[in-house]
Amino acid sequence: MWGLIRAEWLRFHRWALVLGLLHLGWLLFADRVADPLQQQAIVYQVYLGILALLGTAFGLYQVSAYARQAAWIDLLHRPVAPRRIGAALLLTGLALTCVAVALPVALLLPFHDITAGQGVESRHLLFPLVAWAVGATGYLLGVHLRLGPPRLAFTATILLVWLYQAQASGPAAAGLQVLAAGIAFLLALGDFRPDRTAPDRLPRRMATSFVAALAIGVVGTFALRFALQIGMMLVGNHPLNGVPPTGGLVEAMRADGAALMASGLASRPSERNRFWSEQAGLSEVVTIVPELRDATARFSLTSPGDSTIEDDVSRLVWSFSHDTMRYAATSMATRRPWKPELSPPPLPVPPLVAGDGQTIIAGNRILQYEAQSSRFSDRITLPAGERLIAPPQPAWDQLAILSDHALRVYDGRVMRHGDGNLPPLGTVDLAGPPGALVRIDMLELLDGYLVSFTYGQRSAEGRSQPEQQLWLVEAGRVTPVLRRPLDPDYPAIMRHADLWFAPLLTSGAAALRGAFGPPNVMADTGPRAAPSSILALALLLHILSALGAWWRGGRVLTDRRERVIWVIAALFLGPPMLIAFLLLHRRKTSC
Amino acid sequence: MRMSAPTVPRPSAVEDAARVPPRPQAPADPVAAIALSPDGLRHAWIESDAAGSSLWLAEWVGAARRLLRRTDATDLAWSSDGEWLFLVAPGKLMSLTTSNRTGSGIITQLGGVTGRRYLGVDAWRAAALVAVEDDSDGDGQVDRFALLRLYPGGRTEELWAGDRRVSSAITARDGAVWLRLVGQNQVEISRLDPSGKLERRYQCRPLERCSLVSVDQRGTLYLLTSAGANLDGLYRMNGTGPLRLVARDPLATGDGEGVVIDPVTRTPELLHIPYAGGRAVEATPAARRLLAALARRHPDTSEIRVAGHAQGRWLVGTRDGRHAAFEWELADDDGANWRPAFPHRRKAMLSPALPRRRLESFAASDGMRIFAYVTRPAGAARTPRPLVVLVHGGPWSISPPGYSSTAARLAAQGYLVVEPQFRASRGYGQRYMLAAGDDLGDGRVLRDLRESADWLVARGEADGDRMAIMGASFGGYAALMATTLWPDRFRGAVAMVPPADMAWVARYQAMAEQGDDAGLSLRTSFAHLGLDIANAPAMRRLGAQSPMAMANRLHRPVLLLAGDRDAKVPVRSVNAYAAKLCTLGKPFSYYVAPGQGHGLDGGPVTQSVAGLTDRFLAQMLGDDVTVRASGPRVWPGLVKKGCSLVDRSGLKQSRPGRIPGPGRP
Repeated sequence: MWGLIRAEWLRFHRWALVLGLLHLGWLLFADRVADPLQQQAIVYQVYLGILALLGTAFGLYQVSAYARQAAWIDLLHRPVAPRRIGAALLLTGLALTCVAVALPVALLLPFHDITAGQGVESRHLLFPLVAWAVGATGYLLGVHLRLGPPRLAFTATILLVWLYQAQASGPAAAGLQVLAAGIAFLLALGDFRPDRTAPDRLPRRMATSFVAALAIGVVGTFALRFALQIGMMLVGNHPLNGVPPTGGLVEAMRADGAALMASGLASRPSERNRFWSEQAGLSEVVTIVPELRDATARFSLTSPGDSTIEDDVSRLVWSFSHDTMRYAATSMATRRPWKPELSPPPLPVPPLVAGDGQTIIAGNRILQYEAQSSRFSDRITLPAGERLIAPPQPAWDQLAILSDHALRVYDGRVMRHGDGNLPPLGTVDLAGPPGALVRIDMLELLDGYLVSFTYGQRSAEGRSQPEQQLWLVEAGRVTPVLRRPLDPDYPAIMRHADLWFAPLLTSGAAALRGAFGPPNVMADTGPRAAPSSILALALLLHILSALGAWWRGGRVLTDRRERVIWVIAALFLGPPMLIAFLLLHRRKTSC
Repeated sequence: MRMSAPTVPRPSAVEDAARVPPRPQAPADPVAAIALSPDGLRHAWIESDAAGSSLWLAEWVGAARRLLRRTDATDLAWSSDGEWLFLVAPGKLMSLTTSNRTGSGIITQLGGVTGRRYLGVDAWRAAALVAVEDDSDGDGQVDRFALLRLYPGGRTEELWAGDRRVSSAITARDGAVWLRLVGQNQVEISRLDPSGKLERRYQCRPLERCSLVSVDQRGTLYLLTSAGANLDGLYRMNGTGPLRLVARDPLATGDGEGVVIDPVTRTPELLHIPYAGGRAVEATPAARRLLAALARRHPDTSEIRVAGHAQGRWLVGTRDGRHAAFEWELADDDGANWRPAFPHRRKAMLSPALPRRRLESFAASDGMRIFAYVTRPAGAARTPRPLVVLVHGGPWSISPPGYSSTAARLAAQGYLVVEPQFRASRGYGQRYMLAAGDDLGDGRVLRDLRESADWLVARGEADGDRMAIMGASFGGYAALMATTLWPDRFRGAVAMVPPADMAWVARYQAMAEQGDDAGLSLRTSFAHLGLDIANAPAMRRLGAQSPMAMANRLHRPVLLLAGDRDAKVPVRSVNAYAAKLCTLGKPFSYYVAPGQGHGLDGGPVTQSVAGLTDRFLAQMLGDDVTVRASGPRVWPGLVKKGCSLVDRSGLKQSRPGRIPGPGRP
């Protein structure tokens, strides 16, 4: 085994060293032109995606040399167990990945700590591990793609989709990535058997099929929706093409604020509504979009938005430290730490910086950075347990603040004087689930506001019921004006494709996405309401899947007990499991 | 040969609106600020042209002038030693040497988070005085007020720190500093002696002006105030004694406004009475000689501005109401030798003569004497003219004395323009200003406006069938009111940034604003002026008599203009009025200036507003034509707003926004 490891190391170590040096050089260059430790999530996603692709290519290349029949026999016909041979190859590959991926990242950290003003935080120590885990997952999937079951191996790439969509952050995310690498290792290790065409044992086949069914369920649901939309485009009734259907969610999403208000008011004619409608047409209607859907978390390796402040007046860069939970400054001129007279306040959660580069959003708090005095000032603090889900929105001479609980309107001077003496002028509690909120539109009346809430986020996926609500905020009172149901625009068969195609698998995938992650209130889109026809269709398809498995099992399986197990699996997991079963079990060919 | 009778210039309304070229802007005074050096040998000024503003310096001897620099400064002042110029620009205070010394540059940032405000130059040191309002703990509340003395080069000296706002400050020769302190709805004049001891010397009455003027070499303080009398005048205070009158309007008509001070002795020499015909009152023999010489040299002048008197030389500006620019001259002490301050561009700065604007007066129906500026078209014939009543804002404000670009522009188009200084206007004493009380609805103030038109109709100067009314802010409100109440008199109204409901706007302003410059809360100021927003019946009456409440009585076309960043009359209140006119199907046209505040005077907006106003008045007062309310014309800086044309509610809908031709309602 050790000889195999040594041989494999000697085969690739120069490549690994060259790649590692290139990687290190690129990281050091990036460190001079930007701060690679304080980038937004999208930057890391692209970087890790490249590592995963390189790993996959490496895995494919490494085992391609052994995959041919003769080479495979040559590899495995030695006095070592096949699993140990596989382990030797894979461990060597992992060590090479470590050299090319993890080591450069690990070397970057002390370099950054010495040369950059903003030091390395404890969370950054996870970077080498994360980079290696993702690169290794790619590598192991590459091996599995080459050696695994020909028609099912590709479904294992769902692991990378899982990593991309997982909600976990910080150490939990790193653990999840290591877990994915472990699963990929087991998948790849299982492929090291003398006869790769011979059927495996039932538990392994079931496990392989389940992973495949999961991937087929997730990707298949997406593909079904995509295909249905292509069909709508061909027919010419896709809501996103041309003029959207009247009274629908797409129309409401695309309308300007005044038109949306007027449409809502026109649904219930009255003199008062007519007056408001005219006023909306004449006024500036303010629109707020809940764009801060992802919460920040302490020790998270990425941030959903920018958290760095660049002060061109004082020539300072302020970065947020997860260790101290405070901002710390670095001089742009010297790249050395700069000590402010007044220490920045500690924040409850890592912040985001609004587009003006001065407004800081930290959970339920809004602060403002003043460049001339290099000072942070608390401006607004929302009740505990709330989180801002949109940047502060200037609304005429006021300021609209949207949290996951309520919309509040403050006097515009609150950003100069704080909310100590300027409490909210009006508060409207969200009457629907915050995750379903699409937009808010506000019309300023003489002594109050008319507020329109449009719900229906993810309604194309059947997640929420589109609706427009109008509320009057006047003299400290909030009174409902009207509710207008909106058409979801897409047919139920498309919106609820997950429900009739793979309900358990897609639910399981959603649970996996949220695994180890903090609770996100923006994932709450309200209770799901599907028409009974969809439920009936789901039932029918699951029964048909079971019948299909029974019928097909009679031809490809010899064990009646195993046939029953597959039928039960298809009954519960539906068409994706049937498809996985069909892909795994080919018809016996007669000699 | 028989001469034909002069043709009355008639506003043309037959031009197609789409083809009307932008009207030229009314001429403006290119000199933004000017000052005479303490040695009387040099004068510096800021001059604007199409390319921006520049700072210039000229000397008494020789006609050469020097361009010192391009600048964004809006004001300037000489240091007491004449070695420096202090330039006040948006957001900063700069010093500039005039004798090749080091230290030129920005002395301090102003406004914003710095909380610093320029007060003036130190009369005895080469330094500037700056007030500070500091939020030291960053909680947004000012917790420390201070007065600083800043020297060129940046050296700073803190003169005083305390818990009240320094509204203005002047220094005395002995090192004492006089402060005008405001806080908790009180204004007081206090003396800070060189040892740092602060002593209150005078408690100002409500609405009293209490402006610091100077401290002469003997330590006598001069104030511009009313001291309990009706008119503002120049007073002095010796030690702790009472205020003694030095000068005020001898005709007992107008308030004193500006004072010229001898730069050496710091003694007031001249008091301006700008609102009562542009008089000046002398306080010294030299000033008497100057005024006598001015009367001989410029008998038609309606405005005098003295920018300085030093070492026997005067820098004097005069304007006769027909020109936008002041004519600046240098005169010796005897008034015998005069020379232009800008010989290089005298012709250019003297714009073509515009119609003359005169301050006149008429007797209101209750017998009160009401002042009014009247601008008659050039080449006046005895035929009645179409009349435009131009109402100033406020209402506790006044039309600018002397030249008015709007009146000049309208008169040049053939209109007779009257600007009534209705009761509640300031500049004519407190009794005049308080005469209206809260009668701002269908009451005395509105009748003053109507009677100003009737007065000119009765004199045969105005055509009673062709009258319109216009104004901004309160003037816009008054225009809407007058058109609503008296459609048989006024054919239309141009209402810029109008409060459609005075009661609502007064309450809004009182809640929104921290206070006025005097440190009084707006609520208190309003109450002193007679408008008590806590008086529910009075406010209800005012609301019921507002254009908003009487919108159904409006039968004449109106042109509405608003700024969407207006902090005084929020655009939503104008929107609400317009929406009401929409639902009632009333004729109106409405434009909003994005990014503009209460002034409607930024960038191309001024010209667009003028063009729209001219077109509207031509439609109302010119030949009988029907003009589309929504023409294809785009007015730069303005967005046209209209009623919704599609009735989605199913309610009965008329077609609002159409402006009919002139005629009886």
